[in-house]
Amino acid sequence: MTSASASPTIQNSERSSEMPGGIDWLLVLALVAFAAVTVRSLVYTPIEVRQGIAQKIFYVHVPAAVISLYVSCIPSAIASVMYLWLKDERLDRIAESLAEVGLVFLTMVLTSGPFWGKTTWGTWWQWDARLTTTLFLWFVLVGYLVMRGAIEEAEARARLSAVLGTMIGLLVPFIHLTVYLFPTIHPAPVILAPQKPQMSSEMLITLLSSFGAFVVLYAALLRRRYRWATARDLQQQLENQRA
Amino acid sequence: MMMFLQDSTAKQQGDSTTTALVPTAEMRTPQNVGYLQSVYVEFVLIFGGYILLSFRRNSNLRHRQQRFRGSR
Repeated sequence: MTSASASPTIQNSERSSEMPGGIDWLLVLALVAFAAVTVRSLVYTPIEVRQGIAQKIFYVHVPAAVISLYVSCIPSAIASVMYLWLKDERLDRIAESLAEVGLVFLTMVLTSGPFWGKTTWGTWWQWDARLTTTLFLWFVLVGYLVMRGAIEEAEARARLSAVLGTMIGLLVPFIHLTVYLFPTIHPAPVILAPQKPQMSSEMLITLLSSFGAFVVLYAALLRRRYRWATARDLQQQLENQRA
Repeated sequence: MMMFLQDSTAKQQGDSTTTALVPTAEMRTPQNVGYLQSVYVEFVLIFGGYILLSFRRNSNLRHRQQRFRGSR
């Protein structure tokens, strides 16, 4: 598309654009890990004294939030900035894949949070800074993917996406700081806080295990998404060369 | 706001009548359990839906590649 060195010959493209078939073992591992963490969370982790059993939503909500914001959106923004600098189409595909998988995790965050909020705050939703900016980020990510689908020309799509992707990255530190800058009912970070986590060791182990399972799931989904994007672009190149 | 998560089965410290905090009945109310179940249902729907979408996309691309090769 944009980088001549990144455009392989048709023969090479045909080989490398083959979609890998068979069982995706990383995905299977992720699902098994998540099942194990769920059992640990429900059966072997103590119930929190004030919030009750609904506090176990924490083991899904927090890892999904950390992954969507810090492991998806920030690297996507970095890949976008690097694309604007290097014009390498692989960076565009990485940014696109990170943003889409990050959107899935952010959807999990936004839909699990209200159930926990209803239990602890007594309300499903509050238009406070943390919740509103997170919802805003969700809409921007949807807009990013819709925009990508709407632009036919590959180089223009990659360039405009990179600009918007960079802006998405700038939103994340702001969302992180909202709990310190504005009055909010959302709690401050428990793990990414300067002091040691305020929870029992069993809860901490469950939370870290859940992080592990979510990271494997994230890696599996990201790998699938990136492979698909690579095969799609190579196929598109083949079709363009033939036309 | 800071959040302190306290284990309901942990022994209270500095109390001459040290007792284990047993989870109360309210902690297991059907509503609370229902909220937790809803989150797991959401998890299955969101990630399961995305995984199915990714399989479908791969399948569509495979068909596109086959059509391309077949038409040459």
